[in-house]
Amino acid sequence: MRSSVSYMLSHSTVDTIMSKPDYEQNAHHHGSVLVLVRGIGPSKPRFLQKVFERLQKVNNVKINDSSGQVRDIWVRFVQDHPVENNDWGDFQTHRRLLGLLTVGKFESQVELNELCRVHESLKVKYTDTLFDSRCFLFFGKRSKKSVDAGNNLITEMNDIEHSSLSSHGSSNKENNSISSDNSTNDGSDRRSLDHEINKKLDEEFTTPSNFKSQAFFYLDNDPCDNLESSIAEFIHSLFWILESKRLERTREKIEKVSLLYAPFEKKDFVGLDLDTRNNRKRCMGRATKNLADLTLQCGLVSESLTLYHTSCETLRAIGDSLWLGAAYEGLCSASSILLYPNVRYATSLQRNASLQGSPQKITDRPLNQDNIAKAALSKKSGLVIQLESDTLVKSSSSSSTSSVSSILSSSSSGSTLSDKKDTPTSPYPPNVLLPDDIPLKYRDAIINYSKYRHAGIIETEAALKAARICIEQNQNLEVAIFLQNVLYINLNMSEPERVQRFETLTELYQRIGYHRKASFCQRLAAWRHVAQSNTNPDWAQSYQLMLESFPGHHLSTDPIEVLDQAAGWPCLQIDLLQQLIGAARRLGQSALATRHMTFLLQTMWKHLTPNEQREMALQLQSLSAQCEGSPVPLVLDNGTVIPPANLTDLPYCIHFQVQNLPSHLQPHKIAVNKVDCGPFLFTPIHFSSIDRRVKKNDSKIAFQWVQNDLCEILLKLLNPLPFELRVSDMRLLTNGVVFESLPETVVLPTTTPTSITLHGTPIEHGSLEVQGYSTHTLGVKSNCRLKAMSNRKFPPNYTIDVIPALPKIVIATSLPQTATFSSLANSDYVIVSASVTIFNGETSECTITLTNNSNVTIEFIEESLHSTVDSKLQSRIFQWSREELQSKLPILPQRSIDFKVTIYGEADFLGPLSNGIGAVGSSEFSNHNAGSHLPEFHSLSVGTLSVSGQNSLPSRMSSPVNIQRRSELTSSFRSTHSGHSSLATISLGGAGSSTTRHMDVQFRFRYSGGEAFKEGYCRMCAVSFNLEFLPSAQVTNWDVLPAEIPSQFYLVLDVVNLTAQEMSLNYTTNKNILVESKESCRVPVPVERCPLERLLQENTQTSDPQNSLLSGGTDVDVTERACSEHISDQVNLKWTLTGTETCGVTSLRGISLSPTMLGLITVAPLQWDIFVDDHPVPPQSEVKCSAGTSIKFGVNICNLSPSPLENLTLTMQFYQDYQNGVLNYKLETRVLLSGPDRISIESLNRNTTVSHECAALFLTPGRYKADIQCCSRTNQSTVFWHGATNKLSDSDAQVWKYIPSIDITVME
Amino acid sequence: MLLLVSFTTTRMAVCIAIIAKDNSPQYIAALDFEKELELQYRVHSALDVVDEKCAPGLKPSQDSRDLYLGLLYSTESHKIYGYITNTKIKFIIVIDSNSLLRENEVRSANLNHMSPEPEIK
Repeated sequence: MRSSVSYMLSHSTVDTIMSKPDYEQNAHHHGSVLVLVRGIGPSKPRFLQKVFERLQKVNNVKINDSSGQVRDIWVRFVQDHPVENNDWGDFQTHRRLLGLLTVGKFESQVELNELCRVHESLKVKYTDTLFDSRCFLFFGKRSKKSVDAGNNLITEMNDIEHSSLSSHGSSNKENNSISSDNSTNDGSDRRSLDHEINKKLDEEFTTPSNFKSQAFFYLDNDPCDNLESSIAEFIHSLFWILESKRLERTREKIEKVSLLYAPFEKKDFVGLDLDTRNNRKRCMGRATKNLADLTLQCGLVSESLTLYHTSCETLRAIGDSLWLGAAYEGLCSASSILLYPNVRYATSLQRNASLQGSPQKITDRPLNQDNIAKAALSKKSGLVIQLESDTLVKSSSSSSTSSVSSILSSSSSGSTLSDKKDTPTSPYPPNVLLPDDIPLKYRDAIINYSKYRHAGIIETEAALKAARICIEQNQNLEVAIFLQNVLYINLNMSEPERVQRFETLTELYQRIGYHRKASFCQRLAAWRHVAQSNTNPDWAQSYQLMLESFPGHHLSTDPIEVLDQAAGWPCLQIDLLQQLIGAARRLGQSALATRHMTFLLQTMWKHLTPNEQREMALQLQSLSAQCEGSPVPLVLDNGTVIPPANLTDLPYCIHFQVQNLPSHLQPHKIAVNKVDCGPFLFTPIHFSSIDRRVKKNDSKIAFQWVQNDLCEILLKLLNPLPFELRVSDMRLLTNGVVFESLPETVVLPTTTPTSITLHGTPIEHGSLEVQGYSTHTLGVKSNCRLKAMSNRKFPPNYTIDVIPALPKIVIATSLPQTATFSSLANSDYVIVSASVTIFNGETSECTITLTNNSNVTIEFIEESLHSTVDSKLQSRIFQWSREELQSKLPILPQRSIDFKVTIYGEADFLGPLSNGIGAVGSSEFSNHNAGSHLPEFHSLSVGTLSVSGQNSLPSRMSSPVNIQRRSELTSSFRSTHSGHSSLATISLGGAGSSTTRHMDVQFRFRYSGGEAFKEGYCRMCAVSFNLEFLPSAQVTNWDVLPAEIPSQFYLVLDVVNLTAQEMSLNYTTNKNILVESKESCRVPVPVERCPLERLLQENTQTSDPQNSLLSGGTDVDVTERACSEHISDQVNLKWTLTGTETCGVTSLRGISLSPTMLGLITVAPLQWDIFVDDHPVPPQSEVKCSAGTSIKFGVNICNLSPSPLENLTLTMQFYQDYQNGVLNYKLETRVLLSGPDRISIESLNRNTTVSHECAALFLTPGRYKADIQCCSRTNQSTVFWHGATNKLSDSDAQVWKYIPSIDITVME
Repeated sequence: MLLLVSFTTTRMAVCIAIIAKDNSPQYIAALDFEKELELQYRVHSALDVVDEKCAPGLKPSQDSRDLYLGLLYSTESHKIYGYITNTKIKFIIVIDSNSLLRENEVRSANLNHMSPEPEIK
């Protein structure tokens, strides 16, 4: 009831509430003496800070009281204390400011006076509560006198100072508390010096008369050795006054104490009867509580506990909620001081740290992990304690959650707790609160406070104190509940105070590892800073707080980290980032705004809706218009570094490919390593090493780039934005050798992938790493590194070898270019083309000009010819001088050389016309033709062709007699088309030489120079020749006839002019014939017979097995080849096209010859001399005689062959030719022979002659023929060309005939 | 989704959230779209308490089989309750402080509606 009345009353009263909450308060501060430390006058903060730190180290003094008991007196130093808070000094005595320390610096008497004045005015300000004060005055500038007096001293002292300061710096909490008795035992000499100087200062400067405080003078760099002792002395003085107050209170008669009020209560009791029993009890209760406070401050903790308990009883009985709450709080404080003594040490250290006011204080706080570690530690040690000491009161045994710092302290020496534990008696007074009870009591206190609107600050502070104790107890949930409660308390606070409250909450939440909560509080604080109700919005603070709340949202300032983690709530992260951008904009930090916006787009892209993506992209564009974003870290004023944010996925790179150089610029090794190619395309056996099977390292590029050559990288980019995206200044990011990247600008359409190529030139040679590319889009410069591009299979970088510069050549030819390039393989080497049209057999010239287009001298050049045809044929078509080319080296930069290439219209001039022009070729052979044309491009299928040749031959040779007969029938030629192509090895473009044929040839150059040449690199390029062969003169049929002279024969040819012009054909020396276009003519060409030596030569050449294998292995081929070559050497059909300059030669290369022809062509091994009636008979001549007369035939045979002939049989036989294919050998009734018609010759040596004679008598007139032949029956005959006839006879006989047979006309 | 409908129609919950094992949001629905962000902040910070309550070994006394986490924390305007499945999927309900819903009712709501794992889109 009472409380509700007071609540109602307090509602209406004027505001006397405490307006400045002290969020830093801790439970043990209840037992501390409050001292204000204040810098006065104009002093540097750093200087003051240093002094303050020195002062505040003395926060604990042990004093022997009058009864000899040691009092542990603690001091709480504050730098600011609102006077109004003193008003609550009756309610809780620790809120009273008891001492004042001022620190000032002066240079002159005037300044000194001012300092003294300020000190005095401060004293006045806190006069109600102040017990004592000290003033520390530092003399800043040395006066002349002191320089004269103690110059040396000062320098000495400076040295000493350093050492002394460092020793002070290293002092830890153990020697923080300087006991009063060890104050004056060391450094007495130095001290005397100090005193001397200080005395001098004292003498020089005098404090004004109204200055009633004790002042200490120091030089600026004074080590201030007596500082600590003077502070201790000061605390002594405070203690004694406080002790006297306490004693005073204890001596008061408990019945007569006056009522103590909380500030807002005074009005409540106006007009109330104070003499009631109830009120007396209230007076007693409150006085007891007050005494308990004093007792606690004076270091008598257990006594205070008893007093608190008493006051609780009293106050509870009368329902004085406010004071009951205070009593509960006191109880908690006293208990926690006993249970957790180390909190004092810990916080005193922490306070020191926080005094530096660094903005990173939050990051200094122990993180969640630390807490967990601590918790684990505490649990462990808690168990140990339980096991060790059964004597411990049930309080500690029941507390599974013992204090963190107490446990820590128990391991460290010298703590009061451990001291007490050693004693067998109970370490704590029996009335101490159990650890679990402390939060409960705090809760009671808070509930009691909450009944009073004006006690809001007290309530808040109590909640925070409770939370801090719970942190000690590791009861995080309790902490959360207490902290949450803080927010409920409805306080009429200014915005900065609200902010401060949130910051305090943040800190505490962070201490228990509630980072989300902490960051939420930070966000609230940030909002408060810039809330509309805030008259003085502080965007900088707001910005800072938001930045600090990043970890709680699982954010980092580094986008790569955020993308890797992918944690947190995107929705909140986006909101936070947007607010942050807003704050940065308000601050005018456009660079930061751009950076954060870039960060937002980069990290949160996938969490944004397409519309948001668009909006944000546009926002970024407008932000970056003020300040362009670039990939450099930004450093905030407080030293925080904001790492660069790159828009790696805007545009989104789908494809990244390092391109090889164009084929003709690619470097090749001059010496090609032998590739181990087995007979199998695939082999499971890996010869070289096992790492062939190892996953391929796709970051290493297989090909090389060349120094100073423009290189390319192909990108495929996607613009995910719904509007056109302009990406400018795209360059490659490289590492390693110097690389000059060419900027590229593209405008990317929406959602369609666009391919672009980035170019650059390596300036040096060596290893080049391509890491990605840089862009400039939406006003932001980004370095898009491959390793930052997730979800794509990019290696972190590509490594390319750059080889030294290679020369470049430009090729020109004297021939016109073609529209189409070569269809051959490797046509990408071709850099220039040339086309030429020539007639078969014509010769043309081409000049190739090579120009060195680079700055590297070409020292090496190598040319080669590539086509689909055989290299032999190739070499017949193209001819050039390699020596000429090599002699022109080197080619200096920008110089050129040229050389000539002769092109000959090589063709197979033999054979029928496929298109019917002069279709002389009989159908019999066209089949073979078709057969031979089948393997068009791969002509050298010797096997098939030789087979066809053999097929054709027997058909002609089946009857030797027949041949003999047909030789007279000149209407039909014995030429064959089937076999020749195997010899000619030509098959260009299908249908022989009678149609237009095309041929693609690449003239390749490999060239090199400079350093790259030394390293064995070269380049390859090619000229593509497109040859067109027009048909010219074609030999469709041919035959061989005996000539008038035995050493010669006639080659009769059917020559067709396939050109469109009239052709003049020169077929033998000074014999010309004009052939009309598309007309055929028959020309006889006298040819020398093929000498036997040539045959011999040919035979030995082909005697090695490989050649004979190729040639079909038969001797007939050998002979035919020899004869064919002989003919083609001897016969050159020169032609000129009338009306043009065009001339050419039709070659009979590869002419195929039947065995009969061969007989005529070759010089026979036997030389025949025929005599009739002792007169030699010329060939082709006719012998005339009359019937009945005897004619004497004489035959001389001479062996012309190099080896002897053996077992010869010379035969002479007469027959009649009926000219209808019937030969009549049965002439017994018509011819009579005298003498043997055959003789046997055992052996005929070289150049020996055998003669035979016989006589014939013709009985009837008519036309007769004499068949004279010689046959050899030996197997061992070494005659080389026996193959021509051995098929005809049953055995191995060789037959040589005298050709032509002798005609004998017998007349009547 | 049935759950949401039942809660929103009876005006009991202002927001429900389903949160995955790794504390990433799977589903969040708020009654008032305007307040969704604010509520998300609250739900997000409630996860600290969830983590605390589920931290292994810290609270052996608490029945670990009890999947209902109870009141996570309350603000002036809202009360936040949690429920966790065996697979560490969390269900968070935000209830208006002024609503007359009692804790027992929330608990039963949790148990009745959440025990069979709802289908997560």
